[in-house]
Parts: sequence; structure tokens; C-alpha cells
Amino acid sequence: MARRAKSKSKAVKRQEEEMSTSSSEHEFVRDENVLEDHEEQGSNDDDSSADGEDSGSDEDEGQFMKDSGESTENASSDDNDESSEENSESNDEDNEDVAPETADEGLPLAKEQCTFSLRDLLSFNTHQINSIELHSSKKPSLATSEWYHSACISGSLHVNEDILMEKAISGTSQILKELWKLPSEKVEGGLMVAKLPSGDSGSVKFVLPRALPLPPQKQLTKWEKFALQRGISPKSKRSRKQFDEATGTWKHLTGSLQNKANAGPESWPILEVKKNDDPMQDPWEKLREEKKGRINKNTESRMRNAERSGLLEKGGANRMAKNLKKMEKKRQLSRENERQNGLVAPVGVPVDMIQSGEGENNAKRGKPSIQHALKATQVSTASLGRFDKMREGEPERQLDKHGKKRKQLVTDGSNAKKKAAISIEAQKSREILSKVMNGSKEKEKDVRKGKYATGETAYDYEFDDGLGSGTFKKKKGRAGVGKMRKVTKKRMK
Amino acid sequence: MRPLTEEETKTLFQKLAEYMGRSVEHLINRSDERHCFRLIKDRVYYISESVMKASASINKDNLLHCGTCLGKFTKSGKFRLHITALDYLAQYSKYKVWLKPSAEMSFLYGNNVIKSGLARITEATPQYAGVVVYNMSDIPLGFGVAAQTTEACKELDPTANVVLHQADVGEFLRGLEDDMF
Repeated sequence: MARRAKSKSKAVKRQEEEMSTSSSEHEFVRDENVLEDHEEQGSNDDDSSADGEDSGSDEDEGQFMKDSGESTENASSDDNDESSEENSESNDEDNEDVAPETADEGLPLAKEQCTFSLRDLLSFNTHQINSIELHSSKKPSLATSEWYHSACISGSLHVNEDILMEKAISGTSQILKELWKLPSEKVEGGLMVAKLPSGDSGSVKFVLPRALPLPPQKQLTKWEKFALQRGISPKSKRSRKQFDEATGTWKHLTGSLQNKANAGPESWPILEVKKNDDPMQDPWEKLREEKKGRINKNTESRMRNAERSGLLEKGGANRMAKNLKKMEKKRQLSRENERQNGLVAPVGVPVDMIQSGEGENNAKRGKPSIQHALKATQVSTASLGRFDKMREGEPERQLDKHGKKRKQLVTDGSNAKKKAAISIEAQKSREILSKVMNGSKEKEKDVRKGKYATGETAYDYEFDDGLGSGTFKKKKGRAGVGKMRKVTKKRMK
Repeated sequence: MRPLTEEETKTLFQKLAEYMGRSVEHLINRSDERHCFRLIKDRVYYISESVMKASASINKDNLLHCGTCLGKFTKSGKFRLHITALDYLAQYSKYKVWLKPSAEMSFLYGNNVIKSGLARITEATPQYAGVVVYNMSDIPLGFGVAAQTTEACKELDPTANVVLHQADVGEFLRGLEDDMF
């Protein structure tokens, strides 16, 4: 009796102790006392079973244990961190006639195997819930075999708590079994500690599906294919600096002609005229043009490779090449023009008043050109020259030479004329209406230009602030004339 | 007072077509008397031939209005319909919306129509189509723009906009624009 009392008090003390030390998260402490008690209580039971008189008290004790066990369960059923506590009460359960395995089998339905994440001390029960059973107020029975029938009965908020409790008990006992299987090691302080699996192997991995599709497989370029075929090994890596023979220093490989290593004939102040060369041609110009040709060839082949591998749309490379050629032509033309105009401009006439073209007939020299310029400047004010004071001897201003075309209202004249005017007007409006309703070509053009809103609000108009890609010039000033403008997708088309 | 240019007529008809569709030609080809469009200081007036002839004899500075004002052209060339055009819009409108009695007052004060105030709507109304708003007793109250298609209206929550307000009859009393009438 005394022994039993001692064990009883010891059990209570232990439970209290474990309640206070539940803060340890990663260490799963196996109390050696627990193991001792296990043996002790086992012997206790033997005693009790033999002893008839004490059976009543033993039952009471057993009842007490069970109740206390259950109460601790209730407190910590959701809290896996207090696993040491649960360990103790599972041991208590072990001591009872009902072992954990049989406890599960006590359920009318088969044991639902959980999956575990031992590193995170989690057990997942991913089995389908029998919603009928869950919402019924009776204990579950094998008779209710229509599990998978209906979905949750809407409106029935009553949940059978016993079902949930049984599932929770099953889950916790399973994870505790798993934890007992882990290897244990001794830690300072004389405690046996179970080693939880570290790293990703033990924890739940969240594998997210790909958000974007896989990029296209990298295709070999034309050179790479050739190199593979011939067995040519790829180029070895170059060092960042190279020894420049001319100055005897280490210079970068790229840069301006001044700072480049081994810059080549373009940077030499004197170039010899060889046998085949035209002595009148600028050799530096020639070199520059050759270089440009090489660059263009390189870009073209890059584009073609990209097209082949699918990174550029089909036909893009050809369009690019055409565009480049067009730009080159434009550039040449403009250069020629500039050269011509530079030679031909009379003094005092603004540059844009010079009419470019061949021959001296077009270029107005002397009085005619100045008169032409004067006419233009007369109207070059905000009010188009209407309210500006005239100077002495200034020729009369030609305001609104062409005038705004406006159909005058036919109010006077014969009745016939008036009727005619009105009927013409009606006819015209009918024509316009048909255009509006049936969609004219002009409308489509305007839509493409962006004159029509894409939505309903003012914000839906594409605002042209004059800084688009059309005005972009790669180089400033005269050098930018005709030079490559920004090649946009629109221009490529 | 001058007739409209081609550009202006096009803009006007486009706007009217949003509400009336093909019925705009009913405005041009009328059975009784021929009507025409005239501009007085950016406002478009829809007047009959006889009225036009009469008003031509009045001094330009003294002529305020003639006929029915449909709307006016803004400084940037866009056309804005006024409530005074409601008569013709209501006659030939393609897409209509009927309001519950509870939502009438709200609309007449200038608010948008929410789904809970919507009684009926014509089928197959495209989004952002011009719509004329009616009473349950078929009195036109004003016009606006459909915020959603008819099908999408069914899945909205009750406080979502179904018709965006543009003009209503209450403006006659509220007097939004000083020089409108």
C-alpha cells in the first residue's frame, strides 16, 4: 500500500515536473525516471492482480491514472511540443491493460496511418473524413458503410467531438511510436535524447509548381555545330589586359583607339599607300567602313542564330538586315545633302529655307531667297502674323493664303438653290453616317495610329508627348542625322 | 450659326450611334420635315428646316438657341451629349435600363446606378454601351454608360455599379452648367 502510494505520488510529481519543463522544443527528453517507473508500475500491477483485496483500490488508482492521463491529453492534444508529457501518459497507457496498438484497434474503423515530419514533430492524417459520422451524434459503427457518399451535410453544425478525439489520440500515439524508433544519444546532464532527423530529409517539403513554362532548349549555333563536327575545341579564355607592343604597357583589349591594346592601323597617323590602293581614297575611312561591315555581319549572324533557336520570331533577322541597309542608305543620302548644302548656302538665309536638290536653279540666291525667307518669318509668330506691326518698306503680309475652306450658308438665292443646298447637306450626312456605321479605312488607320481610345476614360488615350522612339537619335547634332534610330518592334515590321 | 464640317459630323454620329445604333438615320431621313444640324458657338442644335430659315434672319449676336440642343463640342474636339437630347435618345435607344422606384431618386441626384437598384436591362448589352435609363412607368430619366454586360451584371454584388451616370432629368433643377439652357 505504502509502495503504491509512493509510486502514485511519484507519478503525480513527475507529471507536474513535465508540465513545467514543456518548453524544450527540439530536445525530446527521455526521462530515466520514466523508464524506472515503467518497471515499477508493471510490478505494481502484478501485485495488484494477485492481491484481491486491493483490487478495488487498484481500480481506483487505475481510474485516477486514466483520468489524469486523459486530462493531460485534453490539455495538450494540439501541442506537440509537450511531447515529454504525452510520453509519460502514453507510458501510463502502456501500463494499463490497453496498449497503444490495441487502443487504436479499439476504434471500430481501421487505423488510419499518418505521415510524419519528424524534424518538425508533425503527424499528418490525410485520410478522407467521413462527414456523416463526423456530424452525427451517435458513436460510429461499421453499419455506416456509406462513407464516400455525400459531401458535408450543410447546415448541421453539430460535430461529434469524440470522433475528433479518437483521431487525435491515434495521431499522437503514432508519432510517439515513431519517435521511440529514433536513435538516442546521451547528453550532458545524464539525459537520453532522441536524435531528430536534420536537414530536408525529415521535414515536409513544399514543392511549388512552375510558374512560368520552361525556357526553350538551347540550340547550338552554326559555328558550334561545325566545331563539334570537326572536333575543334572552344576558344580558351582571354585575359583582361594585353601587352601593347607600341607603348610597352599593359592595356585593355577594348576601348578607344588611344587606350586600346594593339589598336591597329586605324590609330596610326600615317598609312602607306599600297600597290592596289586608290591614292585618292581616305584609308581611315576605308578601314572604318570595313569595320562597320564586319560588325553588321556579326549582328546579322547573331540574329540568325537567335531566330534558329527560337528566341527571335521568324523573319526577324531578315527584317533587321533590311532595316540596317535602309538606314545606311538614308545616312549616306543625308551626308551627301549636307555636303551639298554646305557648299551652296547663301549667307544670311536660314538653313531650312534652302531648297535641297540638284543644280543651282533651285537654290535661290540673293534677293529671291531673302524674299522667300521674309515671307516665312512674317507668319512665324504665335498669331500667325495677324497683329504684328509692319515695318517701313515691308511688303504686305499674305495672311491665310489658301484660307479655310468653308461652305457658306446658302440663305439667299432662289428657293430651288436653297432646297438643293439642304438636300445636298442631307445626302452628305447620310454618306458620313454610312462611313461611321460600316467602318471606313480611315477609321482603321486612325485606330492604328492611336486616335481612338482603348477604353472609356481619358486615361485610355495614348498620349503622345513627342518623346517617342521616332524622335530618338543615337548621336547628338549633325552626327545624328540619318544615324540609326531606335529599332523598335514596330519599325522592324 | 453654321453647318457642321465633315469631321464634326463624324464625331457627332459616332456618339449618337453608341446610343441609337443604326437609328441615327431616322434623325436624318424624317418623314415629316427635314431636319438638320447646326452649330452655334460649339453647341450642336437639331432643328427643322423652317426653324433654320427663320433663325437665319436673326442677328448672330442675339441668337441664343434654336431647336433642340444635342450637346456641345469640347475644346479638344470631342462631343459631349447633354440631357436636352434625351427626347431623341429615348425614342430610338437600343439598350435600355429600368430602375426600381427606390433607386430613382439616387439616380436623379447624379449617382451611378448600383445593382440593387436595377429592375430590368435589355439583353446582350455590351460593356460600355450607351444606355437610356427609364422609370418603372417607362418615363425616361436620363442616360449613361453600361458598366458591365448583361451577363456579367448577374454575378455582381449588390453594391457594384451597373450604369455609369452621364446625364439625368434632375439636372434641369440642379443647374450644373450655367449657360446650358
